[in-house]
Amino acid sequence: MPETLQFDVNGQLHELAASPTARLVDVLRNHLNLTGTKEGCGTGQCGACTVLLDGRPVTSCMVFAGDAVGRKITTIEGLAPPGKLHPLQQAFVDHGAVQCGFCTPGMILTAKALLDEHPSPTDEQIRHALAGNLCRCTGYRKIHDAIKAYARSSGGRRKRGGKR
Amino acid sequence: MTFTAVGKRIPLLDAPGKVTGSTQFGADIKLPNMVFAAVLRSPHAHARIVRVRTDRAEKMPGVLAVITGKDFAPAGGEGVPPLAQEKVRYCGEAVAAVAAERISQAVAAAEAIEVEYAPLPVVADVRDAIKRGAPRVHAESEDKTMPNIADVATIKRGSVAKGLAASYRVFESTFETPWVHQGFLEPHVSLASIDPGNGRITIWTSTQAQFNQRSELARILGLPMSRLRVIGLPVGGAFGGKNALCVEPMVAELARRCGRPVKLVVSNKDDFKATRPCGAAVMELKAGVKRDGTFVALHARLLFDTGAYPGAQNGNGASLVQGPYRWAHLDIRSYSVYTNKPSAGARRALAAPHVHFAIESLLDMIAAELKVDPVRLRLKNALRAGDPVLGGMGMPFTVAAKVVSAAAERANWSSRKSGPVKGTSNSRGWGIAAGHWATWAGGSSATVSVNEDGTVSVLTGAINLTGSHTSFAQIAAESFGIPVSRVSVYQGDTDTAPRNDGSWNSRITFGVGEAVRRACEDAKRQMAEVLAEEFGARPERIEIGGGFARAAKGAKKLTFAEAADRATDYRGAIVGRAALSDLDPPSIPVSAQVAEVEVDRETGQVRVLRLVCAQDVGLAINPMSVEGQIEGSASHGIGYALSEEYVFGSDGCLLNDGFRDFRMPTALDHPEFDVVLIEDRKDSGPYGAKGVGEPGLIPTAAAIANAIYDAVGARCRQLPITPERLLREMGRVSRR
Repeated sequence: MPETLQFDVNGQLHELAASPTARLVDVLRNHLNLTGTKEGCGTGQCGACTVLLDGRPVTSCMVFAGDAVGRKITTIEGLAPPGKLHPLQQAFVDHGAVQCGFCTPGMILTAKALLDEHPSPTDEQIRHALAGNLCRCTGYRKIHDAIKAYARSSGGRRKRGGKR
Repeated sequence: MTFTAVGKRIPLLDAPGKVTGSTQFGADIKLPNMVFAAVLRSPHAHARIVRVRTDRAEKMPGVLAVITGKDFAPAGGEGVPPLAQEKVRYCGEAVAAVAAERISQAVAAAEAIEVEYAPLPVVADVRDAIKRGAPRVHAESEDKTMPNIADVATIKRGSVAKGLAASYRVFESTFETPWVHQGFLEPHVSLASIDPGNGRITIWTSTQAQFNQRSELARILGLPMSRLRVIGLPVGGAFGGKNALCVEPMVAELARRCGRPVKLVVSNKDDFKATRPCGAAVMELKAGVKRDGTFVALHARLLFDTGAYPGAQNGNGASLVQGPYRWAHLDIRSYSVYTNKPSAGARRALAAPHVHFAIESLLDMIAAELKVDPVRLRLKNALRAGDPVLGGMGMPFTVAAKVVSAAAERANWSSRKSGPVKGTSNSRGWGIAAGHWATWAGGSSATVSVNEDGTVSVLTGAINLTGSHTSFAQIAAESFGIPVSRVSVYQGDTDTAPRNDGSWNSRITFGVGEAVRRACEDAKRQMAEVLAEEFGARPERIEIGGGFARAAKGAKKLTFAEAADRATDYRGAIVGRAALSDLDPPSIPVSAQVAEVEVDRETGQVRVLRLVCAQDVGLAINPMSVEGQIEGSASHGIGYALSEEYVFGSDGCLLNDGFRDFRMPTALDHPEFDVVLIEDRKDSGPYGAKGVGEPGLIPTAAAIANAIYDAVGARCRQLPITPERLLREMGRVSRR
């Protein structure tokens, strides 16, 4: 039965009537109109619907809305202000890591979680982090390259910042 | 010739919308007053429909319309009915559809429809299907002696009997490839709405071919095309899986009945079972060769499983099974065979990956037996200009040997090391395979408007699957001599764009790209006519390029923006147009790949370490995008080689209906890709470009199979090469 639930999405609090057993992906897409989160398989296998829950990637088709209450939800819309790209998004654009674009929001959020934890990830860390996000278009190489390139450039920025 | 815009690595123009998630795919669209559809599907692979009762479903809450096969005109002999008529021919075939206020109501009502089936014997395998007395999927057969033949394609050249008799050795083997899903992530999705004022129906759909959709829908719905509008949406992956009609007729008919917009997003399960996957094949080859390895004669009997309805690519398989090689004698018979499997459709490169797996594996067996280096064997027999290909036409260029050599050189083939890896149970191996493909321009058209500020707008009706819009912008920028940033590209729909064939066959940049180039040239001619007066010169002496317009010998010049302003002001508008239905020669690209694999001899697990992909691309309009096409194709090929396969139960129903159990390559599986682009710039496409989207998948499975043989000496003739199949071939587990 619908209840009044409060969701913290991209730093904004939303109060809405939803069933705690609704899927998080439906709350985001249908109630909040955040359609940047794409739904592929609906069974937690393809990773297209990945969002961050307290900074950790989850497939939002497999999360009950009730379980997301009181936690910080980050969707692709929350990565950069409208009209702007986060440098990680820019790296995906620049390195040809985007083709059809359906896996892309989930892929970028998975990469974001990895990079937040490991700012300079190894190749193996990148491969393992992305293993739950299917991409049929790219063969993954250019996605991998984009993440490496972003890590190198942001790592550089952080080092320079550290000296100041 | 030096280029300023084509040949450059530039990010896709539509990438920002995709990285922000703002690109609106079909599932993201909400229409006012919209309702939802659900489909009831057959649990039987083959059964007569005795009775369908919808009265209970119709009375359920929220239900607005229920339709069955009787609501469409009879599909006739081989037509695909939008909903099953009289009998179901595969497990998952759509039987009825419902529109209701909410999705949950539509699903509940679909489940409440009562269907009485009388099960019929199931034909599950192509070899059984063609036996005399086999149950018939359709009453008709295209062969007098065999039942269940949907189509036969034959190619004959010379005399195979004489050729085989004169050969030093004859090699014979049978190869099998599985049913596979194309692997697109975005489910099929369609919406339809009807204008109550005039009865006009608009359909929004994830398709590769909006104009083909409109003509098919017009036939099925009995409407003139002018009363239908098909709007092709951004496509979240297709790979041939969105060529054909899917649920569009159902949503259109439901919208017509309930007078409200209807939306249907197909589930992953249903997408696997019932939206035209790629069929299996059994390929029996016999090849005669001379002592020095020269190919003489090829005999092939190919059985393509088309499942419940026509759609298998037996003709394409027949035309490509020779591989990129010269054969004096050919005798190819290629059948499309009905079974009670899903209705087969297209997959990236149609039947080319099937037949090249077969021929390139056989070539490797020949090389091993004759003790000839596999690369040298291929170079010796590679197609040259003028050699017959595709069942008769002449190969336009001598390029095959160059591509094979390029792959071998980049991989460092001559100093390859294979065999056991010390201290492990692993063995390494190398394999090479080549492939060829044919891209026809097909119906291609474009409109190019020059705006008065010197920007340019390109409009086509081609579905932009990935990089074609960016290529069009580069082509237009090159033609006018302006920066790519001054060009915008739009995808029109069936109301707003000129007719275009579908986004298949690697044809968009090749054919439609050439139409864009010609439309730009047309616009420049129109501008020149106006500027001729301004400059006091003849129109053919006006040069437009490098950001300026000038008379050939005059000192006077205008910036492109000034020229555009004058020309559009004088003429009212500058709109260049071009349409073509053919380019001569068609693009016949060759690709060759070298795979390096590591096989665990204990577990049968195969890992692809490196894949060198050489491909004849004519000119890479956008090398970054072309690399992406090739790597994506090769990755698709890795899945085809090692893990992807439909598994059917004895009842003919699909057991692994979703991404969970249909194993596509993940980020853990991608090898080191090394892409080598061969650019001769001689092709008939724009600036010499060829089709690039499919050839990268064609040799991959064979290259991997050959590398596995090199590693462990076991020849797998059936895809995918799962650990179980490999261990069996290695004699480590017993055969069934």
